[in-house]
Amino acid sequence: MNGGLLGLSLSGLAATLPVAAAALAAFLLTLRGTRGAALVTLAVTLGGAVWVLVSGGLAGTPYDAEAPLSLANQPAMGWGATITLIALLGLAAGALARRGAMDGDAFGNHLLVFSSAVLAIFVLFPVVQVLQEVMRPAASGSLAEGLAERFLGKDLWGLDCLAGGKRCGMVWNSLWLGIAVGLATTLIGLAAALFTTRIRSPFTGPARLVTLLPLVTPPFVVGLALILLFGRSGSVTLFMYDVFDIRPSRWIYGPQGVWLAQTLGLTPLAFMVIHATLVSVSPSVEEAASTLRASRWRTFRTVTLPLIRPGLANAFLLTFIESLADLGNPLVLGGGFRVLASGIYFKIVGAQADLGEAAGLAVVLLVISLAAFLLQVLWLRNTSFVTVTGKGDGGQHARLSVPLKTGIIALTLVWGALILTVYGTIILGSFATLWGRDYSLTLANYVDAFNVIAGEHGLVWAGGAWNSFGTTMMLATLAAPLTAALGLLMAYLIARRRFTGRRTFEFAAMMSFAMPGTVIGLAYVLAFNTPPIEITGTAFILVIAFVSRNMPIGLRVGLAQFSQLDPSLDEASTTLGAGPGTTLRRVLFPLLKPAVATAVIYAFVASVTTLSQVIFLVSPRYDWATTYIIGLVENTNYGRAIAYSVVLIVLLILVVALLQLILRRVEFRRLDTNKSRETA
Amino acid sequence: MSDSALIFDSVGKTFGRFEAVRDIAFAVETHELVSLLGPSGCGKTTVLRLIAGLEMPTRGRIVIAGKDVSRVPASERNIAMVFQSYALFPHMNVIENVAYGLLAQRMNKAEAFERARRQLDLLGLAALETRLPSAISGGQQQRVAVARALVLEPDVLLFDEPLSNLDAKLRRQVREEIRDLQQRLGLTVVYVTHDQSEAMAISDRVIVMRHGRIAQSGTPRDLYERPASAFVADFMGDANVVGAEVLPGATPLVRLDGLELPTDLAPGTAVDVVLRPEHMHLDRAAGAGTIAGKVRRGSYLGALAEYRVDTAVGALLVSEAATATLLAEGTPVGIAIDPANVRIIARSDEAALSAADPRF
Ligand SMILES: Nc1ncnc2c1ncn2[C@@H]1O[C@H](COP(=O)(O)OP(=O)(O)OP(=O)(O)O)[C@@H](O)[C@H]1O
Ligand SMILES: [Mg+2]
Repeated sequence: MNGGLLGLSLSGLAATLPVAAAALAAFLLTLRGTRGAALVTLAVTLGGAVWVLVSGGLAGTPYDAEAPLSLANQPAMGWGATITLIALLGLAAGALARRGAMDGDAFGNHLLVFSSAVLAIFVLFPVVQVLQEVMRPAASGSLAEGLAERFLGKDLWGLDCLAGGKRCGMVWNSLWLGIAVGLATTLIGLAAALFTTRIRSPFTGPARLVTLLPLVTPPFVVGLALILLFGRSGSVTLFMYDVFDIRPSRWIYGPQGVWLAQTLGLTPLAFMVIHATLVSVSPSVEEAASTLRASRWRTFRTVTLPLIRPGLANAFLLTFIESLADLGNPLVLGGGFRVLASGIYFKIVGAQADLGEAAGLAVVLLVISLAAFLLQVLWLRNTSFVTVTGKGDGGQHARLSVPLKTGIIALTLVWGALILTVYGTIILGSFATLWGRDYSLTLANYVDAFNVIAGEHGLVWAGGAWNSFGTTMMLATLAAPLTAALGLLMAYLIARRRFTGRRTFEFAAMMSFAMPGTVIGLAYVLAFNTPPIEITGTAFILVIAFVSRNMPIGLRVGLAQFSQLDPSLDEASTTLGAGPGTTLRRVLFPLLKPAVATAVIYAFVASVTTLSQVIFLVSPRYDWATTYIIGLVENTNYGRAIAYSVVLIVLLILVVALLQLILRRVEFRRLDTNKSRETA
Repeated sequence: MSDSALIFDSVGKTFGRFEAVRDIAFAVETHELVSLLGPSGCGKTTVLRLIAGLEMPTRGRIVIAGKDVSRVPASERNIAMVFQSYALFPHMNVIENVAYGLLAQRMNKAEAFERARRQLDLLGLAALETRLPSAISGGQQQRVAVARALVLEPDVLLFDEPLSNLDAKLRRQVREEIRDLQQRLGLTVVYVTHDQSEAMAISDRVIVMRHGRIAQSGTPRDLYERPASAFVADFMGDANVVGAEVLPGATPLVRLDGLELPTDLAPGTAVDVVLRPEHMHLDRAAGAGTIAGKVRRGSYLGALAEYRVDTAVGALLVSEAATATLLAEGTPVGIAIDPANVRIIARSDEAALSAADPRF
């Protein structure tokens, strides 16, 4: 836009007058510095901030040259409006501090106001836009009809498949798939966790490593590998045809295939959650049970299992939520099988594009996902975690009964073999000339994607993948520290400051974790395509989407760490004359490095591997690695797709390893902390 | 009062709806060591945190070195605090810990470390400079924490139960060190403890707190010899507190079995009679002017022998210099005491205090 605030208000653009008035009033009130004045300042500045957003939102009609200064001609917010907004919020935070909120701590109040603003603008506002889209009346002008169309349709709730029909509604598909994936991953995760913690074998170390591989893999890559193995011209399929004369079929396309791919991809998540719970079960509890003459199986069933039940529930709900949100596998393997996430996608990009119906699906998906999230929060709050004593109590975990042990080993081995097969296929596939026909090794796939030619004027990035690869790396690198910082600062606020509405704030911040990527994508398209904030098609919208979606992980890790860090450390720093900034930088940051590393790693990996969040937000200029790969898959260019995936996976492993190295160094120091607290 | 280092002017602090302390008023003079003493949860730490600025008062005024600091944040008050857990920064070595406050206040590095080094020398810690806090003993950690606080030359130095993490032997030694240091450097100190003997040993003045209020303040001797309530009497050392009523007569008096104690209080007043164990002694035969009773149990404690005696006014604790043999269980005795050593306290205030307190 052109013309600053001053220019606009001087030239008579009515919309800017209230803002100018608010700024002036805030300035005068700040000079007075009384508590009453602070209250008025708060009202005035917040009012001004809301007006900046709302007046922008009133825009939207085509430019009217007759009335160049009318409200409706407001352009989207530019730099000036953004700075004004930030300034007004800052003034509001200052006023809050002068009112005595958080004992007058200006730093905490600024943190609270700005992070609340981020939540409101980039999480709440888009969701409200989705709701608004759903509430739009149908073509006939009737609201009820519109709602019925969007919420009661047969493609949502149909149960034909039970009565021998072809398809069920997407809601049922999503639910069943989520539950089946949740159950399978929890079971395998439990087996693998027991295998690595309770069974001594030379495979324990490698098993742990293998389980972590899928975490750095874009989810649909597993689906891709399954196609290479079991698709119509998959290697297993052709082998079966040659040897047993079983005709190739499309059986992998459909719920079974999606289920298998998601189970393989999400088991590591379940494994990590259950593993963490399992190692925190104190061996002495199990020892007590066995001294009470309980058999091995009985000890496991009546002592160990109940103790790790919160972990199991947590694992189930987390993988359930992830399965709901997954878009890649249903796209790659779904065939005619539609779930809510892929439904939204087809309602937006398909031939039958209908934003209203997409919004309807998004609302249903969001409700289910939030319900699962709520359950998880409540469950975790009411069952405090297993005996965490801090004192290392010795003792041996109870031995497992033989049938149980056999089952665990069998399950873990089958799963491990599958994972290895999948990754073997991925690596081989990236080097095969034409999978299924010609297995001779070639580098053509990599060259296609990542070719660099020495041209006349220096290097030419000729490979097709460079554009999306560069964007991905650059934006993920930019977003990761921002994401971690926001999450950890919010954790600091929640753990170390008292303010009204703290629980609500925490819940709101955690909530975006339960928002499926497709829902966020849709919501952002609806919210940020028009003024006041018009950022679709920019790199900015991608970064914002990652930050607001992945920030809860930093929050969680941070909260866990803060609860272990003696608050008198910050207080000591404060009484020694250090302000909150110095305390954060010189005391808390060094002690929280493991949390920082975890949050950064997670944020980076999550934004590189996501498909659902970016698929509606990318533009030709800012393409994403995953969307580019999906494009290759749609053109059945499997070789190049896989080669690109391999590059991503290897790169992520390197990045994680690098950050782990830093983390290891920090853990050495953490030992000192613990020791000093013990002697203290 | 104007040159007091610290003044609390009817200060109150409410957490949500819970009133942690109320109506606290006291002053600490320069170079004085004042203890806050009281049972767990009475609000001692809250008062200390109010001084430090880690909590802001919801009512009243706090003045430090003549400046009203009621709304000044902790980082801008000229105080320093030694925490119960010491709160040494585990990732910094000893000298970095001590220099931290100076560096936070933008002193240049060389000078900050020089001052820190001098402070460590002063406390006999020079050899530990480059160790991490995890690599020194508990007593040394405590002294480093003191050094870190002292180096800032605070107007008021605050201690929150600094000895509770040390073993009994070391505790006595360190508290003497703290007192020496305070006298030597002329420090103004507020010291929180729940240990009565610790408070008496090191304080110029003691403030006894109960249920978020000041129960009584004065020199250790004042509080011991002239407690204003049965609570203070009981808290400051061992005491037998016996409920009674003032009887009418030519001179009003309180009667405990055979013991008659004259008083100025009006007849009919409910009173608590405070009898210190060490002031009483046992007569082998119950005579006139004594409380008759029977020995229930005698314990040999080395220098002293302690008896629990059943009497008409309840079981009383009596301590005597240890004799060759302990009195056997069931021995009839008379308990004698010099009336000058007996405190008679009207009970009304006390009861009112408990009744008004929602925590009961
Ligand atoms: N942040 C807080 N929020 C709510 N209540 C609090 C808070 N801090 C202290 N309290 C309450 O105020 C009362 C006084 O607490 P305080 O810590 O001052 O006690 P204390 O005398 O130091 O006890 P102790 O000897 O056990 O350390 C307690 O009942 C405590 O529960
Ligand atoms: Mg305390």
